[in-house]
Amino acid sequence: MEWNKKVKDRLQQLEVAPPDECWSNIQSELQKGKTIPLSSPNAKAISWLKYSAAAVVTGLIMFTFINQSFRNNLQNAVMGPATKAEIVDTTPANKIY
Amino acid sequence: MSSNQFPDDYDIIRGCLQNSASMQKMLYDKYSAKMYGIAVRYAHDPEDAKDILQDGFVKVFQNLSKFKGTGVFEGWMRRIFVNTAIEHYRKKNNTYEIQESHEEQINDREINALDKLAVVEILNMVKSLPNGYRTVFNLFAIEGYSHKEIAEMLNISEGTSKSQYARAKALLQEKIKNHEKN
Repeated sequence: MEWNKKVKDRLQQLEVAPPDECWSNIQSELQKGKTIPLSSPNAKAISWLKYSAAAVVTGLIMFTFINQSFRNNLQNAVMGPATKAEIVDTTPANKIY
Repeated sequence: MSSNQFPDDYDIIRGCLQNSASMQKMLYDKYSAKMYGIAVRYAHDPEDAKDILQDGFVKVFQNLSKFKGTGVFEGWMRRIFVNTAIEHYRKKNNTYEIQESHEEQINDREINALDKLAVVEILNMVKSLPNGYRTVFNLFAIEGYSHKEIAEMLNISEGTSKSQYARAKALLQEKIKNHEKN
């Protein structure tokens, strides 16, 4: 155990000066992976843009859907359900006249 | 390098979190020699040691916000560097050779022989150990992890960790004896 302790004491707090180029390599690595922090004004603007775009798309889909069903309902109300039957009536013309 | 010339760790951390390049450099200057000391102990060549140091610091900067401030900052950093060294070891070594375990008795002469050695000489002896032995030796003897913890970290059995350590220790003692003779 004493041997272990001696080795530990000698090596645990070992300090070795690193090569000079290490810091510049670390810096360039940090630049590569740099992301915009969430708290920055740019990130907030990007976040708002994303939400706005999502809201616009959702609005358009809903408008199209509502508009379509509104038109169908309106058509039914004004022209009545018979209109549909008339449209799909496949009786040949010579039989009518 | 004395750490007195540097501001308090918490001031440096705060600066780094605000992306201050000068604070990042300050953190590097304060701890790089200690962390490179760890990297050198685990690495098998200088290039590997450089990679461990660089990857370790990048991880430190990217994860600074996760440091809760409850423990000692240097200890938190040391764990990151030890884990980085283990990751490097894993990339290069997928298998462990299993050796017979034989814990040898160490006499006083061998213990005293250590005192006669310079730190650099001990370091070179540790560095000359085979990769698996060196990693287990560093984790058990220097970092103070248990064999159970080492087994989990390196994905090996507890018995393998014990035998690797015993073999590493025997090899080191042999090297110290040879050094004494010469």
